Amino acid sequence: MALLSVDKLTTSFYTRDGIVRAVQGISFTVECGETVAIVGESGSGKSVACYSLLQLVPQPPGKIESGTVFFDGTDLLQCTEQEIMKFRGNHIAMIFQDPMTSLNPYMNIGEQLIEPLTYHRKISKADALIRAEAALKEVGIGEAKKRLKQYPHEFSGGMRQRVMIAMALMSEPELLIADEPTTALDVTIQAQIFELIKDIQVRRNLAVIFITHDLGVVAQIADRVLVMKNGKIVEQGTTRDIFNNSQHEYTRMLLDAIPVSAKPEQYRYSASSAKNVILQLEEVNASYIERPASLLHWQEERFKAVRNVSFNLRKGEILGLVGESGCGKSTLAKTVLRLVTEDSGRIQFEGTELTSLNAAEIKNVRKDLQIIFQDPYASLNPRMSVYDALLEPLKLHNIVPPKEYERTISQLMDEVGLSPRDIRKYPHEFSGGQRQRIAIARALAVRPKLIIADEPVSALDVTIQAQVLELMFHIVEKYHLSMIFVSHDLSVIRYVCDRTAVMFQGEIVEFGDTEKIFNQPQQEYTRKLLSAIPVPDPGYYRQP
Amino acid sequence: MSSSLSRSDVEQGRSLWQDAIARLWKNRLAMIGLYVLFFMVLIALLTPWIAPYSYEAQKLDIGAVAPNAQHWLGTDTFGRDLLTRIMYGGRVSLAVGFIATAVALLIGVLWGAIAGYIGGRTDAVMMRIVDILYALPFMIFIILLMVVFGRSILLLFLAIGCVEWLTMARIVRGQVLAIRHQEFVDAAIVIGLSHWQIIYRHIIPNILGPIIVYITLTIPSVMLLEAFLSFLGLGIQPPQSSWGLLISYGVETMEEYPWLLIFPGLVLSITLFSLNFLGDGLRDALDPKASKD
Amino acid sequence: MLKFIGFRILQAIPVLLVVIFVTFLLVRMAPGGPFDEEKAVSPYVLEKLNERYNLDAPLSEQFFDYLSGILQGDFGPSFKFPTRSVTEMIATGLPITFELAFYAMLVALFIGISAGLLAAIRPNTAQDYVPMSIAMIGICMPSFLMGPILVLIFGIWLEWLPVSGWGYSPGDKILPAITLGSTYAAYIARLTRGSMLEVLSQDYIRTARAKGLSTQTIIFKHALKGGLLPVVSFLGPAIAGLLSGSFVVETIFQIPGLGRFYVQAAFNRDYTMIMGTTIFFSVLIIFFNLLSDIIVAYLNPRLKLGNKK
Repeated sequence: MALLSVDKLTTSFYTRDGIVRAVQGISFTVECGETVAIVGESGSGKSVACYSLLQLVPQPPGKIESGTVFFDGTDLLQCTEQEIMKFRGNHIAMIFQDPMTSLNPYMNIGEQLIEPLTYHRKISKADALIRAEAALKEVGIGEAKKRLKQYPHEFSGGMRQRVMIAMALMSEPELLIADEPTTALDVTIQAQIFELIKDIQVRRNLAVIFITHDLGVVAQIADRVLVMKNGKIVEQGTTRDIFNNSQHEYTRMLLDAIPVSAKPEQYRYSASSAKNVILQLEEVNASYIERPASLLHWQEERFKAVRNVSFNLRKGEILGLVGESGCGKSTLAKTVLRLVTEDSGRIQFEGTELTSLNAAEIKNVRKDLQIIFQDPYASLNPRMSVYDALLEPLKLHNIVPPKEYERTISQLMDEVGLSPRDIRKYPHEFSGGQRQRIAIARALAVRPKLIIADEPVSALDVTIQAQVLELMFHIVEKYHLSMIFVSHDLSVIRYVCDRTAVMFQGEIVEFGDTEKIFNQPQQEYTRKLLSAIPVPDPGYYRQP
Repeated sequence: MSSSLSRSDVEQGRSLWQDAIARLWKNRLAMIGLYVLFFMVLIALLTPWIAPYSYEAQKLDIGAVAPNAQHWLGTDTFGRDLLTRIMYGGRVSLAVGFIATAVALLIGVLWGAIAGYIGGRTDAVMMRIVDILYALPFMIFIILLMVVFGRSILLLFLAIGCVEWLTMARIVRGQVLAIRHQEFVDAAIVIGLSHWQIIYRHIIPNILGPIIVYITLTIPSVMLLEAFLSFLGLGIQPPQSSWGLLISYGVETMEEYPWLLIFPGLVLSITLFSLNFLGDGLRDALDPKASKD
Repeated sequence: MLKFIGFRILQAIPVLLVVIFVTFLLVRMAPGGPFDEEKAVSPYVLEKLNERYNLDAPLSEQFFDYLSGILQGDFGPSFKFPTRSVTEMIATGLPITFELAFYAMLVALFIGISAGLLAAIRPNTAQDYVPMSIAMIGICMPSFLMGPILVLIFGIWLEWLPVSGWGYSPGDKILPAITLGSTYAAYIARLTRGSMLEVLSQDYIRTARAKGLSTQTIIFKHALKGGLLPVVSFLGPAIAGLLSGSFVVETIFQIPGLGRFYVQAAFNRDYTMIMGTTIFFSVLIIFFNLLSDIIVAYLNPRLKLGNKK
């Protein structure tokens, strides 16, 4: 008999704006020791489905409408709050997406770790602490005894996720539900966490439900896969079948959307002469304020984020800046845009030295330099309609005469794949992908020569990501743009960029043609980074 | 693509303001508060023309009488009509509320916005000053001022305004700082907007909501402060009157003539209720994330 | 942490000096001398009085005299009651005001926190609406209105409790404490509700639920500490408010505390008394603000460790 069997589970949310049917009659089973991945895009209901198993959906507004969830012979949905508490954290444990917020900042790690034991097993505090120390060691945290007394903010993100895993394992559960446990982590840390989960799973014969949006992760870790869309399971099967032999159109669309290949031929950079440099950086150093000045610390603390960076960008090429969080790639991008003032170095844009410009001269250069940000929710002023947002740059730089405003804005909307009928709408009336298109339109409005895209697709679902990348190829081609593409996602970088600079601790450690870097990485760090990328091919991980 | 898009083709968007107004409209308590407030302000403005009796008229022969057909809310010990006195008192109380809040608004917004926008050491020093002033016993200083310089209504506006600006400055500074670091402000810089254009087009529209909410919640606390001082006999001086002063007279005679306490108290409380409900409603409407769900 | 506390204390000293100076200056700037309102004081008597209170000396000398007096705990004699010193009057009134403020604070904390918790545990139900509506009444019904109405109901109509006094008859402390505490109970209730709701929506509460902890454990062990931080930092301003609230409550209930002395001094233009009490209140309020800041810093592990480095 299966460890967990879910039948026709249906969960809805009764919100102010009507009923949202988040999960609609899904059925699946999980066997002992098996890893089942639930994959889907945002809003597919994958998290709600798993929270429903343990009645963790906030009620109200949520309501588990119907279905059965048999775990070890008990229907969890029929349990009272008292009864289901005996399962939570005891037989079924959970870990969550954001390790930064999932631990209680006011309690030390030890107190939090022992709770499953003291609570469910009535073990004394002292004994539980000994077990907690062992658990920390098991997840690879050194100096465990000292660490028990520390508070969450003294741990890094990856370490906190290890603590979460240790906590989940304290009461030796039969089933672990992992809700996007590595989405907030860097790719090398992600690889370590996977290793850890797999290791523990084998040792303890633990069943794992793995919720993720990333098919690469699925290939790496899952035995079976459920693909969810709009609250329903559209397809389920073994990982190999899903990848090699998917039946459902949506699954194939998901698979096709993953950037796996090198940059498409037709978009590759082709220059007749190598002299066509549009941007040249020499020995640039930059820092940002880590801690602002206060009366107690009169000297603000600055973090040297960019160290001695030199590179050039050729006209018409897309240059990738890749690295993990905190490597300085965004600060570097902002330095080029004059959002951050460099500490030293030279930045030449089309022969103009940017570092020595005064305010009025910078305004003229701004017309040629534009940016697209990561977060489509924060990068548009929520109180301005699309029309006003696009009008602002047109008016400021006198791009077109006033009577052409409306026509130009409609054209821009059309260009980025939005309906000109929507120009009077406000940002909150658009989806994330659409907002990113608006941001692209705004950048295009001044007819720039260089666009810096700072993680432009990182917040988007994979199918939307593919569309936005396509759009970016299109505009670079059509307007002969040059682009610096900043990303932490190596697959995207490979798919988009002609040349790539790998950044680590503020420095460019490797720079060259993208394909060359991916095929023959010269530096140790680059190799480590590359080997950590989850490859969306189950065969890759089954080889000895 | 059609370049001449006719107006009817364009879908009208709903701005956040329109959404907020729609939400406020649905909030029954807040709307009642708004109507009551509107009514109070209207009465206060029209008082000289619609007051049933003259403010000074005494009828010593009748003395204090309970509410009746001639005097809807009764009369005080001098035979003066209580309704008339409440109406005139309301003019003062509301005026103090609005004017002192305006003073607080002016100082607080400027101070907070400058600190938040410039940031760094300027911010550190400016906000430290606010912190220090916060820790001072302002109520006592206002009393001191009133004692030393005499009880003038103008001084009262200024003194209360000077106290209430502190919270306003903190709120504005926090908001400006948060907005300042949003990506759309960076995007505006990259487009080439000047500081003033950014402040005017991008920052102010986004901090207006919290400021409006805070104004609505400052007015009642200012009115309370004035009433408090007047009650102690340290605020508004006769022959002028205010609700606080009327309550203080009412307390003296509440055993024999309870209506002299109850009606002014009721009017003050209802006004404070309305303002608070409106403020809460505005907060819910303008910031749906902070509201109850 | 020690550096933080030391910095805060150091900062309080210049603030206090400024407070003393401003108070001193304001009182001296008062139009007319302190004895102007006295009926027909002969020039000779006036001169004697000025001499006695050292009013002829240069301003700076007067100030430093006064300052050194304060440092020795001497606020000078009262202008109105020459036989009593200001220090003596403060010493008489202070214990009573403190006792009143203490009871009021107990009322405020107990009612406020429990009402706020009740509301936050089941938001948008009767358990939320009822205490929060009462809290709204508490906020909109100032103490100078609440007090008389309570007196009218419980003292005069029902005759359950004494209408005035302090420590003369049993139960005469109940109404003043409730009157003074009610407004702050209301504020604390709203504050507690808001911050508990905020904390209860945090991810780490979800983690605690997923661990299988009961609602009680989650609220009292996981949520309360973060949820009550805003209440703790409100205590400083609340004490300041209670002290000034005591002016009204002590006047209404005829309690011989510091607040009533202050109001009387303000009426009588008893300048030394006003100066003395103003400075004394300032010290108290600055001290309590400091205390609540330090407690908040102590309760927040991030601050505690952040400053250790």
